[in-house]
Amino acid sequence: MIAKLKVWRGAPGAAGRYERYEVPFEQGQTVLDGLRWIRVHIDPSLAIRFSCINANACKQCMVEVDGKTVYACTTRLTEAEMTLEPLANKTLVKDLVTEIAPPDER
Amino acid sequence: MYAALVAARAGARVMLVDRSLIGRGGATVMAQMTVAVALGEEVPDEPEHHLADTLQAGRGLCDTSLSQLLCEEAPACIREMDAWGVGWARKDGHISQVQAPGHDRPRCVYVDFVNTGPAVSKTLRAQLQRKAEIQRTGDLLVTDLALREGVCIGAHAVHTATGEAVSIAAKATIVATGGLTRLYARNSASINMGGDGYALALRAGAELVDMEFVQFFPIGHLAPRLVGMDPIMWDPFRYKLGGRLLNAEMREFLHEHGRYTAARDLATYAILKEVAGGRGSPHGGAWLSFMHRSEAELRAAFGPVIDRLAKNGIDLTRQPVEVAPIAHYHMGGIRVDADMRTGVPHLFAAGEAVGGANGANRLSGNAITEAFVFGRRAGARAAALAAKASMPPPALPLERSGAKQSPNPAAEIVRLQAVMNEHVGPLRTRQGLERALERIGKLRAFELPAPAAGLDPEWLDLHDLRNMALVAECVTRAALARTESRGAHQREDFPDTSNGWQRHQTVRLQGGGVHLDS
Repeated sequence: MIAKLKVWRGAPGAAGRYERYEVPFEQGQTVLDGLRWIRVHIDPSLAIRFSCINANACKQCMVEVDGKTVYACTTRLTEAEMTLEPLANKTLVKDLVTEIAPPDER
Repeated sequence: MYAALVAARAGARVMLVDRSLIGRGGATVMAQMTVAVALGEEVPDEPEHHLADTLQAGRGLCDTSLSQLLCEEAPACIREMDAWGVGWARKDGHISQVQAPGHDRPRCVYVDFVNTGPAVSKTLRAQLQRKAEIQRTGDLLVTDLALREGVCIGAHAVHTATGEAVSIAAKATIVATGGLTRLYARNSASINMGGDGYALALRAGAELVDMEFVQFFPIGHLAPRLVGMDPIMWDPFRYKLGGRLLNAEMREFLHEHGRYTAARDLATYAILKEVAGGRGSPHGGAWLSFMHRSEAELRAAFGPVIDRLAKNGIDLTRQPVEVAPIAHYHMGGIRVDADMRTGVPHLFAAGEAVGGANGANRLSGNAITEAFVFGRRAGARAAALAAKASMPPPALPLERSGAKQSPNPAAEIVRLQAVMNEHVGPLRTRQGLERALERIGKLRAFELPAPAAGLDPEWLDLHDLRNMALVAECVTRAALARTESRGAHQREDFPDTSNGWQRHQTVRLQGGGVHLDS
């Protein structure tokens, strides 16, 4: 199966753009799996934030998928196109990464 | 976090730096299992019994002074965590303690349901927030320790979101960066477990010890695909419910009779031997079955977790799951004395980054315990040293002369993980280890460039690759030299344990190369 991911790319102070990626996947794989696959196979400059990979313990991989805030590590890939964007209510760092640390931990 | 709290309590001003978010990126937050401590709440117990089990599990290779510290100071730490409201599971008015493999009695405390690590992290974070003396800074990656005349005077760091270089001046520095399990393709680690602290300590001139001993957790989840759960989650299930570990013939091959008794190194070895003998499960592991347990029993033991499993399409009353060994913990690490002092003046280590306390195989439940105990000791000793030292000037920024590498560093990391898993995993041979060394050698030869402005993911991967390759070489060289099998280090070409090898190996950097003292 192939997942079609439309990913917002950009940095603060410049106009962003969407890039489309086709990612092979097996039933059960997640959006985070797909993003990691893109970094290894297509473009290592894609910025994503996560630590624990799959356990949903670090709570760092929040992104917007089709306008809804989700954890990338627990959202399953599908064959329908998904639009991935950084959190709208947080300061952008780069691509899908936003500033999510508490203000006194920066 | 424990070290910072204790140092602040002793009057020190503390800077707590994390490459990720404070208390959310390391191994502690991921721990879903238990914490070993001789509290004597369940049955009478003393630290000396905990120590005896720790030494037994360590297969003759524990640094006894560290193991003793671990067991003796554990009760005070666990009670302090209790007073801070961590919420250790209780029954009949006392803290509940379960019996884990390798322990002679019920000794392991936990937070329900499979919530030990998150609760521990949250509790420590809450304590940190109350201390004005502790400045917490996330997204700050320490790339090298700062030295003057061989003394550690702080650290060089990069603010990952902006790419800015930062110099930190410190009278005393504690490395508490965890282990190296990210070196392996199959791991239960966070991405921060690439051995950063080992690489920092090595480059600063410290020695590492017992690097060949990487613990593979025998029953890491393998299939079907499970998300939102740590792959180690079957451990607490087995504490409470037993469970049957079966081969492809649906036969128990560990003679546990539905209980959870086999030590980690032995269980790992047994599963891999079943797979090698053609009796593995479809994805190359073993079956773990709770089908003899009723829905009501499962729900009473793990209520909310049963719902999370259902979301993954898993019904334990109707199907077994597949499990297989997964890199989980590193017994080796930075060599310290019982005051957590490394070989470099003013540099301390704590937690999993410390080597030696657990010998050749860690007793289950000792990891969070050592994070508490060693952190507490390191924090106290570092604060005492800082109280009488004068503040060093900040180190000059590092000159970075390396050039960006052309191959994709994220892909290089994946290749390194595959090599380590195949050749430097739970079953090792001379040929495999030599092949791994050859591959690692090719990865080692580059200088780290300066990051670009802004968040630079490729530079982060290069940074990680540089540390991972250095640490991988240490593990592989030590594994090649140890021509015996002991605990987590199993050589197919040297299957016996040898009395002559009841000794530690250390590594250090010499002229840029890894030097092994056997």
